[in-house]
Amino acid sequence: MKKKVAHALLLVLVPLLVFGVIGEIVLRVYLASHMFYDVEMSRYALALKVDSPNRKIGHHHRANGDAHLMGVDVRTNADGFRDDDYPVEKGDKRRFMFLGDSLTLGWGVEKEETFEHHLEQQLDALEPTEVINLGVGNYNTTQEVNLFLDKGLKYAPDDVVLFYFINDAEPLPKKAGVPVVGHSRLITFFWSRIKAARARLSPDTADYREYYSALYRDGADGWTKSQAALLQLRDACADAGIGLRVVLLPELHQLDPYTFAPEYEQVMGFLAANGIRARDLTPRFQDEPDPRTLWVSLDDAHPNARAHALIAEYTLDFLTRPESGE
Amino acid sequence: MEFLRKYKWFLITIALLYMAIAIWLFFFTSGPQEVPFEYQIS
Repeated sequence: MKKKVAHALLLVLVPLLVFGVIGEIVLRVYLASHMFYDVEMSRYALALKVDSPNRKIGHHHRANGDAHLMGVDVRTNADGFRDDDYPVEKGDKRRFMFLGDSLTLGWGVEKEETFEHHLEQQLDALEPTEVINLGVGNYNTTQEVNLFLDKGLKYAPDDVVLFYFINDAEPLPKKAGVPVVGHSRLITFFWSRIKAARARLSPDTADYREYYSALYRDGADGWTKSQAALLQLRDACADAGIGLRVVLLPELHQLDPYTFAPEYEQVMGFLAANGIRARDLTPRFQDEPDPRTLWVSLDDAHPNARAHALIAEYTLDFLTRPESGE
Repeated sequence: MEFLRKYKWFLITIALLYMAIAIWLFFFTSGPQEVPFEYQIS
């Protein structure tokens, strides 16, 4: 009996393994000239993310990392920022520090096309300025603020700008439980597509609208922690004499009417009530006829190079006006 | 070889099933991103 069971198991498992290996090879050949967002994200995790000793940060970028992700080169400096190396000692230039997630990092966009780079150039044309980019993929507000406290504060910036996105109120991201998942393109592909199919086919599975809205419901843990982190940042900046601004970046699925207008009103209300200067960029994007023309790719709604240029354009005067209470 | 001959139809069925699922996932679930960025491997 035992022999029969073992035989049956082998009969099922061996062909699956063989076809799995064939599938992995075929997919890797295909991916040599094509990209899948989820596969690229798992490659990002493997190539550039390392565990942080600070539990509130979770992960940060590897120092001096280098990878080709989502069609662009991503290099990190000695502190793990996607930026040049800057001396800790501040020179004569006004120093900005940008905090944020994958949008601020410039996911899917060349370094020279990120809004951080545009703004650095534009601000520098007005007065000598440098901008240090602390954007890291998958970050929520708590992680952004703690990375700044751990690695950013020593640079003594004159101004800090936190670029807020709708998913900043997520709880701390969980690491993939089985490391091999990230190494196999096939498993990553199957895993992500099955999730996507479930989201499309099942009314019980939260799509992005329901998922993001739920982050801001009364008592939601992530939003509660985001608020605490924002207040912590406000106080740390006030103590160090650093100017603080928050810019709300649009979620690029539906811009008119904006899907997350109530949630962004809630965030803006909180910031205003606590004396944090903020600008919501979403009204400036309402005239965009087709939001998908602002995406990195059809399966990736991160802002592309044009969207980054627009973000810079709509942010510039907010960073130059000294007393704007917007 | 004996093994392949004996289980030919079983192996063909598994291969076809595998290919059908792969093709369905590849072609019919591709489209504009509808899941949150949360569905990222971190």
